[in-house]
Amino acid sequence: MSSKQLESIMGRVVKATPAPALSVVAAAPAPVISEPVVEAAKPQPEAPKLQQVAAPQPKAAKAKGEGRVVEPKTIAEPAKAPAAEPERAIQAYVPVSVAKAINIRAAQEDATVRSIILQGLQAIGFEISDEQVRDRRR
Amino acid sequence: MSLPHVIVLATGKGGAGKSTIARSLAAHWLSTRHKPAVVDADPQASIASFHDPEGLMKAIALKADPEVETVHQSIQELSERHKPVIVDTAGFRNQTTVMAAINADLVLIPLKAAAEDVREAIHMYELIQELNGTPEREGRPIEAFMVLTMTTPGTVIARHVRKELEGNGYPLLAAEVTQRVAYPEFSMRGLSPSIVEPDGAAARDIAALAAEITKKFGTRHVVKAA
Repeated sequence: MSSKQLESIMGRVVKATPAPALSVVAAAPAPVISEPVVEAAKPQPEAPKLQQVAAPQPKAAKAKGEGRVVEPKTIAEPAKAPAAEPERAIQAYVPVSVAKAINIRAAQEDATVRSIILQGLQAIGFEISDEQVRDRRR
Repeated sequence: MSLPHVIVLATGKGGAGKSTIARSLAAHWLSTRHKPAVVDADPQASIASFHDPEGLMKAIALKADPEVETVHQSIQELSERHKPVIVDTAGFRNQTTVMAAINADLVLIPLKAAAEDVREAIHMYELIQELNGTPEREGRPIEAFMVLTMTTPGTVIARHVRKELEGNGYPLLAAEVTQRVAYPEFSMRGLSPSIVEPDGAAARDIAALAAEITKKFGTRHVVKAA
């Protein structure tokens, strides 16, 4: 347990190593499938809506009309997660001016910082529904 | 004379000589029959990546830990069996360095005779004074010494920097780590002058630095205890 003075000093400097959550976002700006492959025979309670897609066959096998039979695989649909999807906190260090600007925008629009950030992520292509962006105070 | 238990090399300026001094001091105290350990808290892992666990410096316990959450524990664990524990830190202002410093008996601040190094050294010294005002260090302040590195003896700039720092009351050690090829040559094999060339000029520089650290730290420690 650190004193308030020490925490204040800590707050003025960056971490020596990058936060894992930040690196994941930076490395994968495209929409991410949260559950890549699940068993079709084992439907999970409150699982995301599933769709059937055929796994691609190797090109050589297609040309000869032979090769092993590829069973369809079931993957999670990337779009529109259920509203009850659990949430997780992430932390990222940003320039002070950016943090201030987000706070100002949130105050001007009577919105939350969370919804401002989610709108930005939505705008660059992340699969985030309007329901998820919605200010939950309302 | 008293050897500090935990010595942290710290400055926000990269390339000032933190890793070189950390490795060299550890080698010196190993050669004088102490039981040094090194915590490499620099994410670049300059010391850990070149350390040979089967080499001439294998008796130095080494742990790479750049994480602010765990570096305190790493220092404490090594402190139980080793003295001194020398902590190398990253060349930018970061939380791991602050956490290491709050656990230090002595913070050694290396600086070259250059404006950027002086600025960061002063910033680090002021940070240590600020840390000494926290409840964590109440009644047992962290000592901080500056040391000039990579100097060319007799140059005007080195004399000027020394004069300015001493004139403004900063605790600059008389010992200097002069520019010598021995450091980069030996570091490529994870070694240091005190082990490979104990009679060489670089080893003498490090021995003088270690002696002054021990003497000054011991003197202040005794005065405060009295």
